[in-house]
Amino acid sequence: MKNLWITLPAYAPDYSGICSAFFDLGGISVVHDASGCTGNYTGYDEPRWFGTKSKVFCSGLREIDAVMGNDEKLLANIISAGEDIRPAVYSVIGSPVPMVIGSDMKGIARELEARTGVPSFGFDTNGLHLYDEGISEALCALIRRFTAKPEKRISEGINILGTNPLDFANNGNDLMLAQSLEEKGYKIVGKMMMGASIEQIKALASAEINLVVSVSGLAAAKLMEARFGIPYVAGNIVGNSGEVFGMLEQTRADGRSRVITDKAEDGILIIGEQVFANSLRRAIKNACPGAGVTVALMAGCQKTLQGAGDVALTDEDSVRRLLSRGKFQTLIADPLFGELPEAEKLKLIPLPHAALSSKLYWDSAPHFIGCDGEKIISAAIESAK
Amino acid sequence: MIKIAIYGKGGIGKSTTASNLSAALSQLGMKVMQIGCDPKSDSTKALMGGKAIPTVLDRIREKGVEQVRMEDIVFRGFNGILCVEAGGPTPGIGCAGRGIITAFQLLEELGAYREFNPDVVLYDVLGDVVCGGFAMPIREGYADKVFVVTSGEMMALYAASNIVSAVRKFENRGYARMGGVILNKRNVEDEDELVMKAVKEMDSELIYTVPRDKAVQQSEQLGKTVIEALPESEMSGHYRALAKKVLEVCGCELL
Repeated sequence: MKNLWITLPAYAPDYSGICSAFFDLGGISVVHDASGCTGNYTGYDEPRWFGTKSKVFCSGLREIDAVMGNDEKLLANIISAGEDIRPAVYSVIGSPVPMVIGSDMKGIARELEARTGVPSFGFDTNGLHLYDEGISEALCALIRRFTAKPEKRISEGINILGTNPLDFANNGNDLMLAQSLEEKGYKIVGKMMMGASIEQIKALASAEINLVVSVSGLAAAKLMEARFGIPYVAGNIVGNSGEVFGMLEQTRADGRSRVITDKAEDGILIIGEQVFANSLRRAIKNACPGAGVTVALMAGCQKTLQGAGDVALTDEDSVRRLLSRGKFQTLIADPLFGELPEAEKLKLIPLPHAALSSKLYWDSAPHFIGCDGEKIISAAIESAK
Repeated sequence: MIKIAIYGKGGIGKSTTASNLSAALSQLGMKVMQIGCDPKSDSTKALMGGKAIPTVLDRIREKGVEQVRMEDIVFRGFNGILCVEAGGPTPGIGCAGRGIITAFQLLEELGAYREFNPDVVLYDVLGDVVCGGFAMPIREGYADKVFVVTSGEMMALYAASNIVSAVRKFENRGYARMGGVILNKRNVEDEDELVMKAVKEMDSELIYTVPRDKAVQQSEQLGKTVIEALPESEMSGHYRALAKKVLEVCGCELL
């Protein structure tokens, strides 16, 4: 049946993406909802919050507040929480009920800022979109607000756009990526959003180039290209692949943005985050040019990144239909996909994706760079023989 | 782009005022878009030769939100004025305020403002700011100035006062600012004095007085605005003067 999620859980929604994006900024995130679901944002949709002290609150929206449009109660509670915590920023985040009653999250944030003097952001999220859209929206809002035109560019200055634990786990993948770039002589200007700070965001436009490492960073890269003329490369380092470095050099030389993408072919199916999946496909094809690889997306399919024949999947039913076509021998995906009956005959190479399976496989999330990444590439090539 | 919202008690002559204002502005060489924000969906009738146009919510009902195209909801009326009606849910059920929000979101998704790039967008809004949906036209990114239409009748002045309070309440949120009050005369006793006193209490300004004139009813019977049906009439002159005053309040440099 269409639109039913029977075996697979739902992906993290847009408000969880916003919470995740603001995690490192030293702010308070307030989800305007009835409470009871706070555990999802703090415990399951954000690995870093599980078991740690968090600064995310639910407003405890009640029926009478919704009927009366009692925004004052929400504002008073946020201001009261802020008196103890002294946040650097506030984010006020919508959920289904505020959407239905037409709460103006941006307006509430403006009022909050007028009363406290603390930069405040409102987001009309509603849980009907996925985490990547929430992160994208947060990144763009922060850039519009804080990023200033630079006095001069930093030679070999680079921003990393799109790191988030829902795609990158919380095992140091983001740090390894930054280290790899630094070893090649790049100077990291800003990291969005793992390791981000407001000072970094202010300086983003002094970078020469942006590296988009997940689909959540693409809108921010396009915004900075339009505003500041900074070109971008969309790709990830997988295993020992040096593909991204070559593209970065080309883009620095000619100022043209580039993305890693290839034509879809039968054989190996990757279901995951689009930038990483594209980069993994390229790494497999570089190591074994005859290997056929298709990328399928359950979340965040961007046309800019989509190879000819790549598949945007809308629900569990569409995954099952794709798997049962008999075109694939190997499936590289979150282990939960292996539980679908249609995946039984396929060789599964596990690639945990926290946006789907939350903490179930956090401990076995691979390092994208180095041995773990190479193992995935080797296993894929082995299965293609 | 000048963005204006017209509010006022139901039946006070908002749509008549809005349509004549649009017509007068279009004759000043401006590209005008009028958006009716009332489930009754009759805001733009006088600009469309007396015919009702399909509303945004009608189209969503018929085709599904994904399938609605710009040409399904934006219609050209008198002097090229772009007419849109937000519409409403089935009477008696649904949520009219949420309907306005949905219609506005669709207009934005379709890029209506970008595509037509009007000089003036005029939102003609149902009687009162009764809920979040009907405050939508004055939120950030929509109207910059709010004009309230009233007569000297007590209920009309009461509604006007409520609207002014609502607009002021949201000033911290960067919402639209008050542009002023328009008196649409009903010829009640001491009308000018009553309205002046009330406007003073609202801490607002009376920007224009539109007299009561049978030209309005005659034009409505023809399914037209006064500007179109009786262009040489005294009332057309009043609406033209109102248009110039509104532009002046909005800081428009065209005049």
